[in-house]
Order: sequence, then C-alpha cells, then structure tokens
Amino acid sequence: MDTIENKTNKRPLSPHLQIYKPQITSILSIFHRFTGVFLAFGLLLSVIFVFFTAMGEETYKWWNCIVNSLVGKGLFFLWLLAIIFHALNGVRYFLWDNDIGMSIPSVKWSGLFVCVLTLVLTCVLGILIWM
Amino acid sequence: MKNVVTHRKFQRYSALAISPLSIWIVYSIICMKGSSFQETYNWFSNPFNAFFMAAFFIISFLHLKLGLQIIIEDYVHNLKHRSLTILSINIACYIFAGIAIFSILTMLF
Repeated sequence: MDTIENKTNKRPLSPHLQIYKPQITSILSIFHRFTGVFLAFGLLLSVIFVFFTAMGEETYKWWNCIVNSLVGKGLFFLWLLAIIFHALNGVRYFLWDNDIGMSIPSVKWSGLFVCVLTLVLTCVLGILIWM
Repeated sequence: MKNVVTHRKFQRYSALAISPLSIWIVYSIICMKGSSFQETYNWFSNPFNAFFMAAFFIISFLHLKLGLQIIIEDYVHNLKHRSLTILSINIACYIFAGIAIFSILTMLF
C-alpha cells in the first residue's frame, strides 16, 4: 500500500487479513473487533434512549415505537449477541494476558466454548426478554 | 492517550469494570420489559441506578474510544487522516458521554 508511513520507514502493515488462512483464533479476533464496532453504535443508541426518556413522555413513546418494530427487535437481538460474544471473548483475552490457556489446543477449545456459550446465552436471554 | 502501555492498561481496566455493569444492564432490561414511561423514569431517578448508569456510560465511552483508536491505527495508514479520525472519535465520545450524564442528572433531580 502506498502511504506516507510505508514510504518513510518501509515497515510491513499489521493485519494481513487477505493472506491469513481462516482459523478459529483469527476468525474470533476479527469478530471481536467487528462486534466492538457494532456495540459502539449500540452505545450511541442507548444514549439517545436515555436522552429521550429524560426529555419526556412524548419522545419516549416515539422511541418505544421504533424499538418495538421488527427492525428494532432484530437489531436488539444482534446487540445481545454482540455484547455476550464481546464479553465472553474478552474474558478469554484477559486470561491470555495472565498467561492462562495459551497452548494451541486450549486456545482452540476456549474459542469453540465461547461460540457455543454465546449462542446458548443469546437464545436463553432472548427468550427471557420476549416471552 | 499517546503512551501505548497506559493505553493497554486502561483498555483492560475499563473492560474489567464494564463486564459486571453490562450483566447488571442486561438483567435490568429483562426486568424492565414492557414498562411504562413513568416506570422507566422512576427507575432512572433512583440514585443507585443513576450512579451505575453514569459509571457504565463513562467507562464504556472510554473503552470505546481506546478500542476504536487501535482499529483506526491498524487500518488508516495516512498519518494525517489517522490523527484527524481519532480526534473526531474522541470529540464524539465526549459529546455523547456528556449528553448521557446530562440526561441522567435531569432525571435524578
């Protein structure tokens, strides 16, 4: 890539996404970032929710209509999936920082465990919220 | 945050702080489902809820700011664009965190 930084110090760029063979570790790492960005938008929406609640009943009801629509519910479900995955995978990274579970087999198993636990928790909490 | 070590430390500390807070928030959403405007407003006027909501927003925006900064540094290679993007993300974070705190305080008092 032709950039100022590369021209001046000729260092390789950090994430070589294209040349990586997809593995559970890299896929989960990419998904961790992706859910992080998604949750950033979720945080902005929750600020708007708090603001609308503070502004009074009319804006609150207007906001409630959007949240209870099909799009709103779908986005909320994705938000739930994202926050559960990001939290569980974050715990995995925290354990790695403390040198726990760093061997290749345990890295793969913990990744699989995070995926399964995310799906189970999302379904259970989704049912609890909408039933 | 220019220092990489401080950046990393704050990223971990904020993650540790928001994980219990987000469990509490998901739990609150389950408890609050289908509640009216007055019920929601009363929930926010409770000092306990207001304090932890404010803490959640402040720490989350810090975590968001630090996380997005890493992503920008990885993918935006033009140094001028990079610092401009990071600066605008920081400003947006302060504005939105300010709106959140303002709203929580309005409901508290």
